[in-house]
Amino acid sequence: MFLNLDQKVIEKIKYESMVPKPRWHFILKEVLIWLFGALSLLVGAMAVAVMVYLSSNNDLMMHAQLGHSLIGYLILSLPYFWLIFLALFLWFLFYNIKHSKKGYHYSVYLIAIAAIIASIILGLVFSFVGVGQKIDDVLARQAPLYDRVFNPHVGMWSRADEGRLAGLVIARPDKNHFILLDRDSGEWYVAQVTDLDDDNLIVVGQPLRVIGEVTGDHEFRADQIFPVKPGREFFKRLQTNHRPLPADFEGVPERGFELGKVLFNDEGKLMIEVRD
Amino acid sequence: MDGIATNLELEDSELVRLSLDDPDKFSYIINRYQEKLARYLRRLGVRNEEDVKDLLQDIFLKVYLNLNEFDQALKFSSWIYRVAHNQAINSYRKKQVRPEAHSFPIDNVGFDILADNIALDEISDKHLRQELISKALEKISVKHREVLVLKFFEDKSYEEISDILKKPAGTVASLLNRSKKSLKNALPENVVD
Repeated sequence: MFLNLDQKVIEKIKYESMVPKPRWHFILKEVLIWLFGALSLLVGAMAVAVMVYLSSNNDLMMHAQLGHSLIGYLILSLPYFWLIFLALFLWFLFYNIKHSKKGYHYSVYLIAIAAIIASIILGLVFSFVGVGQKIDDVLARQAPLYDRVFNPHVGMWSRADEGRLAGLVIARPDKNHFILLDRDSGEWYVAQVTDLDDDNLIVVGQPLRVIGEVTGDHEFRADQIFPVKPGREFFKRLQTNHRPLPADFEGVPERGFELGKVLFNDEGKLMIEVRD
Repeated sequence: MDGIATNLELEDSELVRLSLDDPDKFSYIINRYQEKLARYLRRLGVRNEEDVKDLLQDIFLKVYLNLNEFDQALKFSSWIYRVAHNQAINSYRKKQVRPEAHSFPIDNVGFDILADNIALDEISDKHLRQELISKALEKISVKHREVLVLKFFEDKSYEEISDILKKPAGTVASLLNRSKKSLKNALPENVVD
């Protein structure tokens, strides 16, 4: 027994006017842990929803047409950013559960599995109500480096040399030709050689994906045409590299625009008017 | 004196409530636990008596400051052992030294139970048996030593050890098994099969 230890401790408590931390301090700490845990679950579930949206539109069955083996295509098209993002928020969720008051009662494996299952289930619910598509649209419209970071498909479909081209239709001079603006703002004069099932697929101001072949300098033959789903908003923000034309411009500006009139507004954005 | 006697009969949770109202009442908690915690700290590897005393003071101040954190669903003794354990580990970290096992006082019933658990009860000389275990305890890791100390010397249940070390009960059970194996390996070869 240490002599007078109790007196020394009590004296110090009184001398330094120590008071026990209030109960709300501990309640708040616990609430914050669960709040951050819930937030991590929500964000992780959103990542799952985006991955479901990207995966359901990743054209896995077209891997042979796109010149890849199934596994090779899968590796190329995996949404790595979202996988890392999900892993990060799963860890946050795990950390918060583990550091809650009762968290230590459960094994790390049980908590990890519960965190993964909860994120996937909520992610599927989000996906079902269209949250994945919404997030992709917002990021595609606003996020810098969207095509390099968030959506690997944009890059995969931007390989004209390999027969894959994606971009925004900026003009349709006639029924069998259209001008496509690729992600680097390069213009492609695309000749459509097959009849389309959906005649409304080629619409000025809407993005498209094309499988075909380069036939000349910025000329492409389209064998197959598909709509763009994930990343569609990304193409809508593309602009040409052309310098703005004078407002009173009436002439024929470039190759491929013979039947159209191309104008730019005051901000330099492309405005297209297609003649009937 | 009647007051002291009454307070000594009170439950821990009741003493916590009284201490929250009056800091002087906290001395009952100190007197109830200082000897147990000092013994625990020595067994964890705090060698110097001055260090034990300083640590005890820090532990009781921390306990006082965090009295409102005490969860009634938990045993108060588990909670105060947890604070002591964390404080001891923090102290090692601050000083950047590895805790070394204190020579365990012989003639502790814990040795007999532990000897029985690692099949060392065939050695009839009780004193020799205890000395062998005491030396082996000094050789094993802190992680293994602390769980053996809590189970066999502090006589804590799995649930209590789980609450003190903040590990799931299942993990405590497997840690205890590994610790016993580790202790057995640390014994001289001629005494184990």
